[in-house]
Amino acid sequence: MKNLSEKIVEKIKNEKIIPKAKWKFVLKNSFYWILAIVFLVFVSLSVSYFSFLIKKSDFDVSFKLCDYFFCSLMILIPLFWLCVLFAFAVFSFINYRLTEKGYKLNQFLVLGGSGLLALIIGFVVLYSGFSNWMDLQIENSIPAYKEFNLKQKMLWMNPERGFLVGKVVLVNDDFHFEMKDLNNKKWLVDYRNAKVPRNFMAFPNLEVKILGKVVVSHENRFNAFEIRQFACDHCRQKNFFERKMMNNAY
Amino acid sequence: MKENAKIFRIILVNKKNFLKIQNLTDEELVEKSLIDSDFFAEIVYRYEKKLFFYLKRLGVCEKDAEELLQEIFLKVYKSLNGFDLKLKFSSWIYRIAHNFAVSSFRKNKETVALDEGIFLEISDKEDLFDEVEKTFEKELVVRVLTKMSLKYREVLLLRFFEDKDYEEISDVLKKPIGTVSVLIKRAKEKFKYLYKEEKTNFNI
Repeated sequence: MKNLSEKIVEKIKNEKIIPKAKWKFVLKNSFYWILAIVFLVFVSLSVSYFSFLIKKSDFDVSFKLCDYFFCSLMILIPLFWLCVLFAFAVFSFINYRLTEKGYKLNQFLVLGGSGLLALIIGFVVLYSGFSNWMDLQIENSIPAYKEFNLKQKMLWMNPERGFLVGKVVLVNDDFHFEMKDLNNKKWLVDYRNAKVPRNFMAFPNLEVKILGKVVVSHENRFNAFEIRQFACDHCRQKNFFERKMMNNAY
Repeated sequence: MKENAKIFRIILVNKKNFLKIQNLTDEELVEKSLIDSDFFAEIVYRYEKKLFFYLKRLGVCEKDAEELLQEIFLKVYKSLNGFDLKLKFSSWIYRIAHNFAVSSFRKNKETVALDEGIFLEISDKEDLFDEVEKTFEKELVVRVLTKMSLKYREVLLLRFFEDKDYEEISDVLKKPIGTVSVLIKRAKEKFKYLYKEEKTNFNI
């Protein structure tokens, strides 16, 4: 401790030590902020994709039809995205804590606030159709995932048990449309008493999943109890105005 | 030791046309040190003792504390541009010292036992140990502090030995004020419990 102030100043002068430039500190702080925000955006995207997968899986119906392996797979895929979501959340929080003022606010408040923000952004992103686009990209780049998606669809190809999946080919009126199932078999669907998604509008090429019953007297007729669309299918197919125009044309 | 430092300060004062640097605030000294490193000597002078005892109270051995102190001041000088003027300089310099101490513990894997020397330079302000000191021996308190984990010991030291308020402790430890107040509350409880335990053992 002897003469420390003198020693230090001498050392600074002799070794020509200079203070680090201010911009380096600003850059470091900005870097942590940017990473925290980027990871928060990733959290939002993961929230959106996770919700999309849950919506897409139709667990209430799928579990009645799938075998043990396929059911496990259907649970594991969203679970994997849930882990990814948490990893992004942790990275975002760590980077936030590394910023200069990152310790000031109560961490539960920060976690709660950013969680809420991620949820809001996530659902906005979900309804914008991004998750659907992302799912298509994954499907196109991973053949196994494409096969999995197809198998998931095929679970619905079980008219005897009341499950039907396919594409609308012709809209007859407000309560009937014709569709082709995945085996290219034509069906006339009556959905006058069916529960349909909000703002549902049938139009050619729309992919639908139907819960109902085959009409005994007419083999190709299907009475729908419920119609489900593929998650955000309207985003994948046509935009609202195109659909409206096509519908008017029929 | 004190004489040399005083002489050095006098020389510095003369050099700077009798500018009363001792009247400058820490923050003003930081700004001046960025222009002329001679001013940094005053910062070192003001904090060398405080930080030395702080390191010792945290559990750094005397030899290491002296070495660490040099590294701390050099780090402070290099980081002067990173000092946020919205903070108190003392909180900032204590934070750097605290980080150095924690790194040193990680390297050495353990803290050393405290000795009664840690009671030197204790402030006269409101003090948890005032009452204790009056009634019981200092050694007992030292033994209790040594037994406490670092996270509790550090908040007690900052609050009652270094006279830091909650906001300053929050800035030193980089923890939210709420967390600091919870830590202090728990540390006090832990201290009381260990104190009673130690007292019983001591009497036996």
